[in-house]
Amino acid sequence: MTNLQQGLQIDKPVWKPASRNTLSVLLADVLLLLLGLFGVAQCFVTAFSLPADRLILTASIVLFAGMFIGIFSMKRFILPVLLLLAAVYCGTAYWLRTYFLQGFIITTNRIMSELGSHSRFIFPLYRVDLPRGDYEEACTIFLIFLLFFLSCFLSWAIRRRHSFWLSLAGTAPFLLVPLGFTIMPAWPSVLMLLAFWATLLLSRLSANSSFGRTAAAGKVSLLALPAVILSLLLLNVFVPQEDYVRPPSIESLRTELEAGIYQSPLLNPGSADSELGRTSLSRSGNLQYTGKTVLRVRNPQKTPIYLHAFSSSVYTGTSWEPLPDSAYEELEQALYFNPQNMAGQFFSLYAQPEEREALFMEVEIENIGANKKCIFAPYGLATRPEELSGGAFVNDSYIQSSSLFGSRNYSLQAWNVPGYSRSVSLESDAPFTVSEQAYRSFANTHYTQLPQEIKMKLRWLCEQVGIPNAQSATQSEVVNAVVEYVRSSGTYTLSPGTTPVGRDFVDYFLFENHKGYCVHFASSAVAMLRAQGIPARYAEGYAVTAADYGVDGWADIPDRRSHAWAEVYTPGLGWQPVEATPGVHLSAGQMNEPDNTLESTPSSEPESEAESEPEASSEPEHETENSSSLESEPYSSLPEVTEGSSFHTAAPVLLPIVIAGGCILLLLLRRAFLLWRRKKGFTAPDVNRRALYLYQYLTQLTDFGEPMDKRAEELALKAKFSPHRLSDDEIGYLQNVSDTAGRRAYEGLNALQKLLFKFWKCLI
Amino acid sequence: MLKCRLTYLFALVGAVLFYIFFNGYLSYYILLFALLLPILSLALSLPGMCCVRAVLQAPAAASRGKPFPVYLQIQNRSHLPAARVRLRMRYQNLFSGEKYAETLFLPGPHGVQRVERRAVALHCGKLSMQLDEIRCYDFMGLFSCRHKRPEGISLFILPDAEALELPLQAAPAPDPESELFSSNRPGSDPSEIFDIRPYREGDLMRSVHWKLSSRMDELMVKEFSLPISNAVLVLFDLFGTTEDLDRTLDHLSSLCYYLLDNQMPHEIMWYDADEIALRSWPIASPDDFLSLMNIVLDKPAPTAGIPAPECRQRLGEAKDVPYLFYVTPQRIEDLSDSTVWEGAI
Repeated sequence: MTNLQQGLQIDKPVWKPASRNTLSVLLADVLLLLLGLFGVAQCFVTAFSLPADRLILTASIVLFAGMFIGIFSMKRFILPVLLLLAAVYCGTAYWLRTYFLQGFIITTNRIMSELGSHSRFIFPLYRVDLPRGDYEEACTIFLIFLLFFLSCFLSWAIRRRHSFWLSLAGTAPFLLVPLGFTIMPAWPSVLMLLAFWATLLLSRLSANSSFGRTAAAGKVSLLALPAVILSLLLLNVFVPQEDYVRPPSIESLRTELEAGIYQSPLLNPGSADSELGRTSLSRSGNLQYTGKTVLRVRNPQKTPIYLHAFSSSVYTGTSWEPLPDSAYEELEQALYFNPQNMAGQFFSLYAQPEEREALFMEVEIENIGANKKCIFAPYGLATRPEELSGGAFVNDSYIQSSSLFGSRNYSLQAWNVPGYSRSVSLESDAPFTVSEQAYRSFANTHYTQLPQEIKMKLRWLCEQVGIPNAQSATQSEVVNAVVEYVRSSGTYTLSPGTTPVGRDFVDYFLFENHKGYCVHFASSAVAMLRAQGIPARYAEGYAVTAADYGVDGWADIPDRRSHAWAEVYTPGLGWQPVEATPGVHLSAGQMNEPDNTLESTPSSEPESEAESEPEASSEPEHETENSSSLESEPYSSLPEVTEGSSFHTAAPVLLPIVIAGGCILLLLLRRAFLLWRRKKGFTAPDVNRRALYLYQYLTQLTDFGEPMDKRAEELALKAKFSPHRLSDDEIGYLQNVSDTAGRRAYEGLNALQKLLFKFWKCLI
Repeated sequence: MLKCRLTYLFALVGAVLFYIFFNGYLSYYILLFALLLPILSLALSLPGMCCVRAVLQAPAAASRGKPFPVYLQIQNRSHLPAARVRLRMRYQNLFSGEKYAETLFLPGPHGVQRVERRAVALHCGKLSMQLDEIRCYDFMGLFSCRHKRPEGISLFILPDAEALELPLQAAPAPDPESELFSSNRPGSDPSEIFDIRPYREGDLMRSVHWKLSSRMDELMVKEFSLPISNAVLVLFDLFGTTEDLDRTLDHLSSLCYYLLDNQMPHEIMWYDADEIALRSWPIASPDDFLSLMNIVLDKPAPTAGIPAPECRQRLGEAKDVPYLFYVTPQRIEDLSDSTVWEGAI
């Protein structure tokens, strides 16, 4: 009885359920079961080209369907009969064990070889101890045993439960697994399974209610089945397979989505570590590249350029992190331009006409396989934030695409800073000078920070090896000395191993390991420059050498050109790249190749000397000079798309969906089981036992704030310890209380608690 | 059927993603079929959906605390099955002011299906039951159609009368001025005939029914009626909490039926706050009591008011009667001799 409120109690409606043996229900179940079993069998056999006798399989299916429909139509003795059948099954399997096992091996081998031929995986094959002429017999026997199980499960799912989800769970893998490997079973079998699922779906509501299966449910199935079959056939006629052509727009959408998925941190763990502005050094281990083109770059001037992805500012010992946004508040009023445009501002104010013509360049970038959320920008950027559509300047660190799927094509204007050699005196009161001074002060404050321990250690090292600091030498002298030392401090390799847990990344490289790639050399250079008082930061991106450009001015940049380098703040010109990785010469078109491990020596890189760097200041006598050289040869070290990650199947997208669907299905199965078990307890023949189940339920409700009814507690104690049976009134009271309490507890919860209550605790 | 719609949406998104990522005719076919399936479901279930009707049936009255049947009749006038029906029911007790609502999901009927439900009302009143909404769903639970709601029904939940033992004089005293006559004793008031019987020795000649006698060839005499006194006045308070009113009406009902069983017609008096007056109702038979209940239970009772004896005093209607009872939630008091009965209640 349901308590609607305090004043009215009304029973739940009792609907007279149909007998399972009503003709319409029986006929519908038989037809559905046959459809499902034939669909599954044909799917399985045709998908993997199994050598099986179709006639025998057909006869088996009919026999099993009839047998299990009969068994599950019985009112009693179902379990004993099933146990008897199980004994017969085991006995028969033992008697035919040779053919059963060999049939299993043959089937497995066929499946493995089909899967292997449709994927890049290699599946093991097992030896078959039967002459080839007996393969069909063995396979048929094995399939019959398999169909026995499937028939039992499907019969139960359809006849007893009429559950769409259970039936789907039992049949879907036979289609989904081949499809996952782009193996297409025979078309009629696919249609049969679709018809089976669609009919179950259409009859689901009328079959499954709290009132059991009604008489109308069978009629619905009998009505829906021919309608569904007709619809499938008509669809086949009006949209024939031969005339189907996949629209190009869908194909391009697929490509875009795949690229976005592959670059996501979920499938591309490395990229998670290089999330814009952030790099985890502790995971910088061994690298591999595919050689696929990720960027296409057009530069009419065909000069070598660094395409900057992002810069990181804060060194923690195990990672590079961005500065917090709050650190930039002091610059909001001080700067009238973005720091990433500092060189662009300088040139626009002070460049001569002939210099404008010579140094100004427009770079076009086509992002094919790199991170599309990142706008790769050259140094000396002239394009201002308001001129760049689809991109947003993020402080002084990087430019991020603001499009949903990222930016694929864009062009940027920049100045060729290495080509500039004139000195300029800046007016002390000029707005540009004032802003530059403010930013220089900001850079000196924030970009010379290091953890104290490594700072002291690096200062000691610099003192030992004779590297001057900012107080005792010019910036360019310090930079050159640091770069020279870092290049000679280690061996270049793509397999340096990972930094031990708890060790500082730079410390481990400079003082112990001495093996690494661009990330190691760049981080070390930045750390040493900061230790010596030079504002520096860590940068990642791609390196384009002069030799990469083709005749048309386009350069195809592969994934192995991802690179890390140091940046040094050059007054007036902003952040400029400094190459610290040995064997990297952009202008000469030299980059470290994946197979090479170059050992750098102090005298082996004459081109590695950095030229003097320009400096701009508010004092008239200070002059700007050339920026640091781009003579070093970068080597890409950015984590990249791993090898062989692109394939034309739906598996990467289907897999999470299937896993999520599987989890939901398990949850629902669990809920169904718990509810069934509770219902069994609530209707137990032993009244006292029933009372204890009800009390247990009430106890679970107390977790959700529902107070325990005192009388219910007393009755439970009586049921537990008293020799007497509870009366009908007493058990009725307990049932009423549990009904009311459950509903009341549920209604008082918020949405999340309701989900937990219903689907995890299964209390309602 | 939000769950069904969400499930379908999820499946459709899956079909779209499958179409995008799976390069083959199958994905296109499945997407088309997924789009076609709701249309097919609607087409198959529409006749059944449109032809479902539902009505409620219940008895005219029931006792408080005792079960009574409520029948829900659902009919599908088409030959095609319907999937599922959602009914929103609303119950309202006009007397206590309580409102209840429930939503039922029932399987689509084939033909006529009558469902009996056992209900128990715990408070007196006039219980009105209304089918607020009848909505039928298609086979997939995605589409629904709403039907015109039928007329509501109502039934009276009457108080529960229990046996009383009161030491009262069973026979009512004769009252020549009364217009109420005894139903089991003859008298001498010629204005009302009590019975007609054959002549007996000693009968007065003026009581002979000459017309009937001539027809029957035997002398037939008229027995005249005995006017009896309406000497019992019962007061009760028609205000208070729902529980108080239930107990008051239970006591009132018990007392009235006791008096009627003892051939004591009586008058019931209460203060009607709407009419701002004392109202009285003569009770000479159980039907009179039911009529009184129809009037009393048909509208909400106030939660506070002035006790009926006090009203009677203030309004100057303090006529002496042999028995003056005052019924409260806790007891029945005989105000004429200040006797209180609680134990029998």
